[in-house]
Amino acid sequence: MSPETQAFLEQVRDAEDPSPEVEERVLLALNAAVAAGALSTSAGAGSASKVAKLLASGGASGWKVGALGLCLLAGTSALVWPHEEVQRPRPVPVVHAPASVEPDAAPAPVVAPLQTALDPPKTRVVPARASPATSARSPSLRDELSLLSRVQAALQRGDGSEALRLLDEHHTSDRQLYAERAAARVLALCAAGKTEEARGAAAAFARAHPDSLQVSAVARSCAGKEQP
Amino acid sequence: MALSLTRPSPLAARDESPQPMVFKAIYSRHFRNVWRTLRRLGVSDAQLDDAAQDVFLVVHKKLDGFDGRSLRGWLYAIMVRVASDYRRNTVQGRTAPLTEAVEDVAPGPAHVSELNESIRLLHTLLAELDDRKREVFVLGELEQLSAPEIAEVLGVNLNTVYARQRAARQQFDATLRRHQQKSGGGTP
Repeated sequence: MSPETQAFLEQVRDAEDPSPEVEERVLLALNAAVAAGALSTSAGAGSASKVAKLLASGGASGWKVGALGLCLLAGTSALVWPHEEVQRPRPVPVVHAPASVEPDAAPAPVVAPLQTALDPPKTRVVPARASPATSARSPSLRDELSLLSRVQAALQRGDGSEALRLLDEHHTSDRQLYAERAAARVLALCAAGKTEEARGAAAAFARAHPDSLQVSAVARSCAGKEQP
Repeated sequence: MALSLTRPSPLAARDESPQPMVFKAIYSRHFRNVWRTLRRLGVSDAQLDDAAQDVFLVVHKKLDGFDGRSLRGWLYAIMVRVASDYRRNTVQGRTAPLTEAVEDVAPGPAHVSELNESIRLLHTLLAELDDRKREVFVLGELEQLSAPEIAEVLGVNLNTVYARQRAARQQFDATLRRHQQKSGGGTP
């Protein structure tokens, strides 16, 4: 292609982004579709969209149904709490509190000792690949997602100490995933029964990521009320 | 889907359900790209929300079985299939007129106006490619996938990709030149 065409493509390649409102709108519709169990491929797109639009357009009653669905699915398929997130101007990665971690419940009965990287491993055997020798290079997205998957699994088991160990062992430079890790750390501290530390981490999270959709979810954890 | 799932997925949940944290990380990281690529693949603005939602519904449904090999390639394969379905089912699925849904990306009204005009022109030019050339062009020249990656995403052999790329580039180049000559010689 000619240099002019190359220059044109260079100009437009990254120039076309949806507005934050669009991103949020699609996420809300996605929440509704997932809550309605409309897990379909494009062949079923019509039904998924119709269900999502039905829930979204039902006004207060529609969102009550959607929110109830999300309550029932909390920690499994649900994504975010839409009625709490609608006002957020800019969506960022969110971490949904797992079903086993009730926001208002008492801390986990097992109070883990102060967690450090030297703590003995828990009963669950962590595969060798869980601690790759990657400190010398930036983790790939695959590594990041794998880590988040293991953190989530630990939280779902109520194993806050394991979740903290995983978060302590690995670091990320990815801006978006950093917010998610920070939110996961709050939940892990709650699951480990470290309420005061969780509150401190939640306050730091709210300061660092004030526009995060996850501020509300973090506030619903043992860390208490949402920070201004 | 073009990508084969031949290895156990490192992302596969130990329980049965998709893991919300992983899915939401994928959504947050890739939504903008999915939206933009669907648009460039010819999904009309009126259907863009639904199409993007459908892409992520597929991701949500199939994430447990994802082998972790190439998330990017996997997503592109889903996008191409969803866009194809929407193009087939829409009467006016070609040129996507610019709407307020596109975020302003640069300060200053003059620069924004120029960029918006370029984006409009891009879509006009893309709409003149047939679907097969359009897919290869969008994936290669805009999303910057390699030819082998495109072949895997589309489920075609490498020579087919090369042939379509050559044809798409020639056509796009010629059409852009024609537009520039009509508008006075420069890129809008």
